[in-house]
Amino acid sequence: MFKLLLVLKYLRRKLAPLFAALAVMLCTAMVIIVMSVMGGFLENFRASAHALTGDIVVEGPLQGFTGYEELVATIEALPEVAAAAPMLRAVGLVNFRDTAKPVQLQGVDFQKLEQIVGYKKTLLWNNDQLRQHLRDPQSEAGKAFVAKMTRAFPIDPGPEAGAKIPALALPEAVMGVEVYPFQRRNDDGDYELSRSRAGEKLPVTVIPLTEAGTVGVLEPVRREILITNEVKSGLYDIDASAVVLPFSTLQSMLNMQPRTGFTDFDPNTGRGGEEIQVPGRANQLVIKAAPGADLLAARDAVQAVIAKQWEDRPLQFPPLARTWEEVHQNILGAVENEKGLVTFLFGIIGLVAVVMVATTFYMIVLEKTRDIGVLRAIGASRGGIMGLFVGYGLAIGVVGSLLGLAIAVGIVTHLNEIQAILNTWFGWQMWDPKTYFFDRIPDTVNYTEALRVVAGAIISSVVGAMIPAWIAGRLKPVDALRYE
Amino acid sequence: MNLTATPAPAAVTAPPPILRAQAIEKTYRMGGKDLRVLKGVDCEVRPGELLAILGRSGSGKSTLLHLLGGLDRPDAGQVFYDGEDVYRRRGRELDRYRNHSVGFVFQFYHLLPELSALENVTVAAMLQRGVAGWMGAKKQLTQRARDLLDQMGLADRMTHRPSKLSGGERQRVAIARALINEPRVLLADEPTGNLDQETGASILELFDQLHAGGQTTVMVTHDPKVADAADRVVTLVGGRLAGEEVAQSPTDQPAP
Repeated sequence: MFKLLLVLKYLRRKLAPLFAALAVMLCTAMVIIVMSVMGGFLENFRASAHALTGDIVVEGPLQGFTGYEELVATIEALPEVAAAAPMLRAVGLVNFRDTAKPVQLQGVDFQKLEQIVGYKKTLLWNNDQLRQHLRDPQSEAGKAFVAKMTRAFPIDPGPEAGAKIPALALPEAVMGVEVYPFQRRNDDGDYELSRSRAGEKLPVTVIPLTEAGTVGVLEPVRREILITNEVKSGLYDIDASAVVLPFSTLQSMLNMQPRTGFTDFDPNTGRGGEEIQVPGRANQLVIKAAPGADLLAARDAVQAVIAKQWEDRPLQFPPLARTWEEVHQNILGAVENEKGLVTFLFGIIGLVAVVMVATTFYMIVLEKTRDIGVLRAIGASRGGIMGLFVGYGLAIGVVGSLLGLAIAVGIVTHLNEIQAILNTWFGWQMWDPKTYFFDRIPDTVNYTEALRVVAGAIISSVVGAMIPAWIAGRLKPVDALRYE
Repeated sequence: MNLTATPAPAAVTAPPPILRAQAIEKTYRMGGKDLRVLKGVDCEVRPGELLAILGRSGSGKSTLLHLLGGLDRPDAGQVFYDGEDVYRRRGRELDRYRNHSVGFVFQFYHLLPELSALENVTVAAMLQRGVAGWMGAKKQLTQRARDLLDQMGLADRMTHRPSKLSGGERQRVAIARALINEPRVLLADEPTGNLDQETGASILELFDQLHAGGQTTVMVTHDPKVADAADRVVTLVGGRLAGEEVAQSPTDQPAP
């Protein structure tokens, strides 16, 4: 009981423990802020990566594999799977007038893709924005946009034009917002609609592959596609290179569509053998797992279906099923490692709190040596004295870390407002949205992690107090009384 | 002033001593040299008596008091409390001896500066009681601490911290703290040594009243006038017992 009495008194009436609590508070706040921002950053990356990938991706060779319809149907019948759709990916070239740029073409069934990954969330320009722009068609921005949209859609750019824009529920084709090399973000990190290529027809060129995956047999195919929207997923790999087309369009461009062919066809004579049906090819499947299904179990079930279907294709490597996390492991792993590394580094700085507490307590023990002697002289045990200082460390840890938590929560949840104030007052922008793909600094506290940090800070404080407490407990009463 | 203290047992014949030091030796190592402070001292404290240990600075009187009170261990010799060797006790038993059997009063008061006068007294009552033990007896013990402070003339100083008290008041708080657990022996190390003459006299008067109430007391002093109040005076010179003087009628002696 005397320990509680003295701890409360010491806490209230001494400056040294205040500094120790301050050190614990700052270290706790610092670690929580770093973990929250880095964690938010990672979560944003994960959400972005998940947005256009689905839960599970099946990847085959670039020249594709046949029987994808049957494979999709079998996979969709699995209890672990909610939906599946075929996809195509190919390397292509987009021409912006005299500027050519290599792109990653993706062929998708937009309806199915929406069902599987909800890609609409990543569309940068929504109908409301388009309409708002058209409500003032006489403005410069309005005129530029109307000009573009007029080329894309036969609309009348009059006062009621907004209402006449067809709903862009399913775009004909979309591309990553950074594909256009001259797109720029303003200081707020926003893209300029006036620089958007949405509404333009762009020439896209692909080189079809043969069924064996060879290049050069088939001529490059060039086709104009209408860009009806742009995608901002948050992942630079996608936003700077993806052009998404209807599955059938890309399939026919790649000569992978189902068609009629001939056995032993001779292109020189134009003669062939028997007429056969050449099956269509896809080189990727995108899958949505059933609600609550374990992704790894679903992946294994899909892989088992593939293995079964590939039993009669001994010369072909079966496509590989991977979860979305496995697909994006390189970028997610990098950010996770960065988060871990930064947390580790700040954790080391957190050791400063331990040293601070230890130093402060050692000073307190020296300062309180005579009091320790008095307490021992009037009957306090060694354990009681140790318990007094350990309890003191615990109290400092609790007070410091809870204050640190409160400060961290206050800062993290207002980071964007703080940045705005710093920007207004000092012109300093700590988070440049032009550099990062996220407009806002992640401002969500992971309370589970934060409470772990608080617990760590409390334990650190107790550890920091233990050696001085042990020294205090070892003091002989008569030596402590004579201490000057 | 009517002070509460442990009543002295009614003695028909000479009662056995409460405390007895036998052939005590103590050497301190200071500056790389051994300093023999006590060189085989025998001494006993009888129930109800006020014993003064008189000696010059460095004679070993405070060391002897510390050894009687369980604050340090002798290099040789034994200290008996009620016939039992104090230094056969270990850890908590020795802590309990310091808390319950003896009560210390120091020259420099040694109050805890963060605590009020009342808390300085009650803290001694908390030490050997757990939380449950203290909570069970809190009301009674707090009231006893209040009564003691009241008897010390500090009724209006209970919430004051030591820094707000005079030297005499601090020493009275220290005496109340020493008495809170009703120890059989009060050990006072130069209790007036840091006080002016008038205040010192009032503190001696307090000890006198405690003695009159039957409180066994051992008082270390370098001042023969202070020792005059004692029933018996033992003198230490150079770490050895140099003499013993018994007052003819100790209980009738006037207060110094």
